[in-house]
Amino acid sequence: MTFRSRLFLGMLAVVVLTTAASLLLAQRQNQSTYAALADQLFSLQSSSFRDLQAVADRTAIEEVTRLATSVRLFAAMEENDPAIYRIAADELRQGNYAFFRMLDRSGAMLPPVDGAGGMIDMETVASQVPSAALAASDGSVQLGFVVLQQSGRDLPFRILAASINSFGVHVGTLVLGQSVRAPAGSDATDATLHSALVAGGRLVGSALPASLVEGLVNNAGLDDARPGMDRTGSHDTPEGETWLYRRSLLNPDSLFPEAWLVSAISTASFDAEQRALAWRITLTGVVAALLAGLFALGFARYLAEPVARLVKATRAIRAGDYAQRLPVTGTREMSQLAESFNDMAAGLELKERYHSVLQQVTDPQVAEGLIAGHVKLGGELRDVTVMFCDIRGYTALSVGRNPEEIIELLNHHMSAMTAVVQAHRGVINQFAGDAIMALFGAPRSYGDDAERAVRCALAMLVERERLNAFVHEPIRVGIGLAAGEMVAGCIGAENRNDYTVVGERVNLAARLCSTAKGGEVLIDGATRERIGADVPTEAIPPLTLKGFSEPMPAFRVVR
Amino acid sequence: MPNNAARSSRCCLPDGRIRTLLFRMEQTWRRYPVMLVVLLSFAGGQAWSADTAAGSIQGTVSLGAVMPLQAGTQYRTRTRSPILPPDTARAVVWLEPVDGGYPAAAPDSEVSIAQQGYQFRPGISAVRVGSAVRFPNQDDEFHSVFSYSQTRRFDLGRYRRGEESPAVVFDKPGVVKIYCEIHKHMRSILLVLDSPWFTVSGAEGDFRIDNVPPGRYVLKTFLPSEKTVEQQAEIRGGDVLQQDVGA
Repeated sequence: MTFRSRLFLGMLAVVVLTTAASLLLAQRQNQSTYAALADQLFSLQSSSFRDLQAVADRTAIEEVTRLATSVRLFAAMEENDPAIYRIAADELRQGNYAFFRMLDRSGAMLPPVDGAGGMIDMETVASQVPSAALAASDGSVQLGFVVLQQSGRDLPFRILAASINSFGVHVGTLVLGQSVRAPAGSDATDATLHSALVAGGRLVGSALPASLVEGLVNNAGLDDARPGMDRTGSHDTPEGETWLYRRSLLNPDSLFPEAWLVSAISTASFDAEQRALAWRITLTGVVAALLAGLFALGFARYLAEPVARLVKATRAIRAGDYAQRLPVTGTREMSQLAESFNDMAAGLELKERYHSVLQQVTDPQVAEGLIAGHVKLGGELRDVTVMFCDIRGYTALSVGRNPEEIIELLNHHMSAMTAVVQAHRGVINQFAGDAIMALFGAPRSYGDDAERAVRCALAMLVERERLNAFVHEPIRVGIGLAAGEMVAGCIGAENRNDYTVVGERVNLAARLCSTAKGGEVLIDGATRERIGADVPTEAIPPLTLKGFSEPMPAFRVVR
Repeated sequence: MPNNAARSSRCCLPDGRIRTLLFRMEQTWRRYPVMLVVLLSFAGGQAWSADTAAGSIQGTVSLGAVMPLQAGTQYRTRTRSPILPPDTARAVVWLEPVDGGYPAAAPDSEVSIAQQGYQFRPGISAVRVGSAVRFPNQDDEFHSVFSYSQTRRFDLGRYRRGEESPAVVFDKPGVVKIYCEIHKHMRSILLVLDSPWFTVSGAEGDFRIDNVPPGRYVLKTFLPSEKTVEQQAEIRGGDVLQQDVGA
């Protein structure tokens, strides 16, 4: 995986994870804020309603107690006065009531007359109010809420039942109904708080979804099974809407059926907000991911380009192109790297130049030996075969040619011959004019140094003849070989010396060379002894050579 | 203290029945503020009436325990002077002939049920049918006397001391419960009777009805518990019938 794709994917992953995390956090935060808000609204609603209701309840209880202990009502009830409703209406004339009913000692309702709130269907009251509550004979006042139909509308009433008694003597029950305002929803922020009163299987107030109403009315199917005055829960309608609600018991410890104040909020608008928020965050995330991807690609390129240049330059250097240089640009780190690379390339180039110069001025074997430390600088006695090869008729060749031509001609010849020598593991010792001096067995011996030298000489002749086919004026060479023990080492000044061999055998080889005719290879006796019978030779008359007192036996290699 | 008194009285009374009663009395002593006293009446040296055509009946009503009115905690009445205790509970005893009617007699001379010390006095009374009753206010505050009794409904409204209270004529027999609208604790019971032979018992339940023609009667007693009990009684001329009424 490339750096670029890795960076790209990494950036993408970071952005996606950050987006997801912020989405989660934001939603959770919102959810808890909303829940707290709803809770606060519910508490406000129920506490304000309950405070008002508590005052109203107290007033109502005081009033009904006062009315129920009226001595006139008592006296009339005691006598089963047929005009009991009229007497009671007279007694209640200053009371606050929507309807009232009288019950006798056994709890049976006395038939009402006009003025007792005749429009109230008392069968409905009786169905909503158990007779146990109506027969409150212990002097306590029972308080409850009922929802009654009045001219086709459901209306909530506070209903109170008090014993008609005088000094502990119970003669009947007074049931008083007071109109109460149906709880109405209030607009708080953008969430509409709905509220309703539920009593005796009926609900009155704000419109609520049917499934929630059903649950509230039947007091079943809601997940707020926890008992208590205040119950909070959430309800999912079949339509997929979620409602948070709280219901507060309005008449604890009463014989009347439980009446609940319900506050409810639909989370629809909140859910929509949550979804919108999710979209916004997701969109932001996508944009951020795109930007991060672009940045990652750009940055990767910014980083990768110098790296690619570096790789290319390094490869070129490995291939031997030490002239490679990197532009010193970019970040501080990259420019430092480029500088270091350039320094390294310059160093390598310098070393390579030294190396090539060394190889030019000395034989590669010697150069390698020197570098590797094989060559003993102090000098040694070695068995070496020395070869000399020079051009026959060189003087004639150079006449009438300009120096460049001569140098080119020589260089061409020398290069070709050098290649043959090196192919035969020979060491070019020096070039002197048109002559080449080569060593076999120094600085390293390969065992068959003399034979290789002879074969090399023959190969040189073959090579020269091959080359002669392409040139206008053929060059003919003579080659002399001599073998024997000689001193090998670096000879010269302390800081400028050459690896070479010295001895009379060297002179002998030079003499044999100068004696050899063009296309002839002359060897001395020692060489002949060293080579096998595979190389045919023929003796020539011993040569009287300068510097040698005796005529030296010499042999011509038969081609 | 009361225990000592009971013990000392026990040693003076030899009769075993009395001892038993006293023992029961000791048991109930603390529970009832109205002491239950039943005494056998020894009417030794009984004086026979000179009129041999008429007889008398006398005895003691066992009044039974009467709970005082329970003033509820909510009941607060502000009065100018303190509320005095109500009259002691008494019973009304009368005779109804088993056969034969009542003598045509003039109604009782005007009867009065006063309001005094924030109580009706008497707390219980009886009149013959056709009698008129006045309800004089003797307190320094208004009273408002009314009754929803089926026997006689009336409502006198408010009037103060010295104002003439209208006389209410009771022309039907029955029980009339009388209340004051202002003072809820005030109550009085008036029995309107066909019979001229009636009396209100003493505080101890003792009663005597004189001038009763001989014959067979039903002795009816209206107890403080507002229950009426009946007994057979035969009156003989010139004789005093001794008959007690149990609770």
